[in-house]
Amino acid sequence: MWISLGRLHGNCKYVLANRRIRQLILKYHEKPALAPSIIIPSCGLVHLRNIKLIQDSIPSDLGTNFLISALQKKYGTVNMVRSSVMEVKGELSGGSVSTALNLIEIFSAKELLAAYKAFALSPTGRPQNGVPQPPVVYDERLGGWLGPWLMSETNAAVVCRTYGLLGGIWGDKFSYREYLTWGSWLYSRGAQIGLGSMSALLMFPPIRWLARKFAPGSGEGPDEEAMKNGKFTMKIVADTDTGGTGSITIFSNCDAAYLLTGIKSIRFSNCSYDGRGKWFDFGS
Amino acid sequence: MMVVESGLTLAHDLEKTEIGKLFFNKVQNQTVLLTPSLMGESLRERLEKGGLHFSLDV
Repeated sequence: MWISLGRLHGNCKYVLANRRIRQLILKYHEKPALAPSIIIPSCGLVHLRNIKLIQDSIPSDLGTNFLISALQKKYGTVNMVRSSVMEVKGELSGGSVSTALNLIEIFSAKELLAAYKAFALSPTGRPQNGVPQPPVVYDERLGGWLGPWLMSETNAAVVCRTYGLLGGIWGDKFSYREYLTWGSWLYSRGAQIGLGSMSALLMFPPIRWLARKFAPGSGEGPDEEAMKNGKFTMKIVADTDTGGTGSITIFSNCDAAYLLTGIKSIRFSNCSYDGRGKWFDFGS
Repeated sequence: MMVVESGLTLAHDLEKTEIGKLFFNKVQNQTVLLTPSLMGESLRERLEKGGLHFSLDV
């Protein structure tokens, strides 16, 4: 769904889009543009002077970039990069539920599957010698048995787009997969089957009707106390061709989905743009 | 409005990075879609102040 939010100045406009990143890329990436614009899918895309940013998936994307940069300086080319959400405490967002349900209603299953493949958003495609990682795996460094979670494929697609935008400097054996630390093989496999089944079931309108009836709606979400008591910890590990290894841990002591988004917005909002190329930064 | 201001600030930060300069010079009258990690340190610093921390072990 696209909603025009109006114009900042004569040559600058805002558009709110709904996780249509792949469609946006196909339509706009490196295509001639008549006017600078800002595109924001969910909490996602920003544009100034014809540049758009995918802002979602920040912990996975920024963490992977930092880790690989540090490892490449010390050891050389990386091959396998794997991340896992080791602790997450928060409540379901009604807006996210609505977004997911709207996506299924707007796009065909074929389009959705194409958009959520790991290198679907990468301008250079898949690395030549990258070996895909299994959906369920044991990795002691990440807390044991790992399986998929709700954001696995979304975040992986953004990380793999960064790989392509950087021209493949992470190496031709690069592979990335995102997990949640479930703790046992049974739970990990159950998550894989459960998430797959849920996606398939939501293709049927009566199931979506039930989901809308019982899940939180748009504008509903955790209260202030739940946000303060939330937690988020993600760990990313990477191996190099020469046997080197490293990790980065990303953590927060509040609800990552809600309170952090608000804090980020406030931090970023200490800066104003006059619409004619002049910035006023009030510090952070 | 806060989301829009956030977006503008992100773009402002990106403009200051080396990779950002590459894309700003490249696009001219084109459009490109970038990812947040291309903003590197400037984004990490803002996130750290907001409560999202990064601990590197290499």
